[in-house]
Amino acid sequence: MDIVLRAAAAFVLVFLLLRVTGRRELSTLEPFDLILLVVIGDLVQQGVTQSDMSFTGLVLAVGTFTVLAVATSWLSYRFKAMRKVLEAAPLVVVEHGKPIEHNMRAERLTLEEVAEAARLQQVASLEDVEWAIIEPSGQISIIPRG
Amino acid sequence: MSAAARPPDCISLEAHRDADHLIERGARWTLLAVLTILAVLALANVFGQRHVVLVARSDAAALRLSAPGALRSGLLYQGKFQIDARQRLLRPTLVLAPGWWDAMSVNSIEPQPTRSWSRDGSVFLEFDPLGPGRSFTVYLYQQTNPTTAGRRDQSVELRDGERTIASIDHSVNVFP
Repeated sequence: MDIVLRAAAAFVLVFLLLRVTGRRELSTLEPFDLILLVVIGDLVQQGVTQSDMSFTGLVLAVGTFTVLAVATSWLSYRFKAMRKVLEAAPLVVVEHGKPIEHNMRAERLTLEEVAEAARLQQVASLEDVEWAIIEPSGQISIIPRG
Repeated sequence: MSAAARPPDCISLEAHRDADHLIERGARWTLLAVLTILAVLALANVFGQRHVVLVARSDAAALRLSAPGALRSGLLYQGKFQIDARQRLLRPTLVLAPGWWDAMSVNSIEPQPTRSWSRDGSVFLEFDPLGPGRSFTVYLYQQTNPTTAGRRDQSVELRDGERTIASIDHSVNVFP
């Protein structure tokens, strides 16, 4: 029983941590962010399974994580109100070539990072960006001017 | 308005451009504050495992206990019991409350007691006689079991036979 409770608590903790960390860190995955996520995973594993090295323990822990992941996904799909809690909303960060400052500040997003995302989509200048939207996944969608 | 000038599908300017998302941002900052407070509390030894030192004295002897006041499940730790005899103790006996043993793994006791027994959950450890002015230290090496959690009574009493010489009230809080 204990391992299921620990896994559930760890799931909630990881979920909250990732919501606090912000989507930028999740999407960019710079080397430091990648290492940070691996370290977090390792620390979580120790807290969940502790000295339990059994296959049963593995099944219980992974099973609990899977069930909770599917449950949150279903809640998010089924209830719009839950979606607002479980997922970050998309945010417009550039409109008609002009940056939306308060949204960029909220996501700790610099103009250079938006320009980088634009370049990755073959848009050389932010003035040529009709819409730039930071998605719930943390990726920046660029829609060029027509 | 051209197709590109219109907001993309499922994007509303009110919700995705102008809204402050104050509740979400507030929740994020609150959670971050909670995590910071937890880290500060950990630095202040709230979650263990820095030792506390407690001393009880009487005419016959002084008993000094050094042990953690807080632990986390699975941690190794040490209890140190120092007896400073002022009078001759014929049967110095440490009486350790159930919290020292229940759901704890005992790795070692050094030195080994000459005799040990259990009564009402407490464990009695009797050692060789101790002369006045002599000091004697017992080390107890332990580990909290991974599923152990909650407050445990780790009081300790020094007796000479059945006579109580000194006692220390101590408890340890085990965090899951």
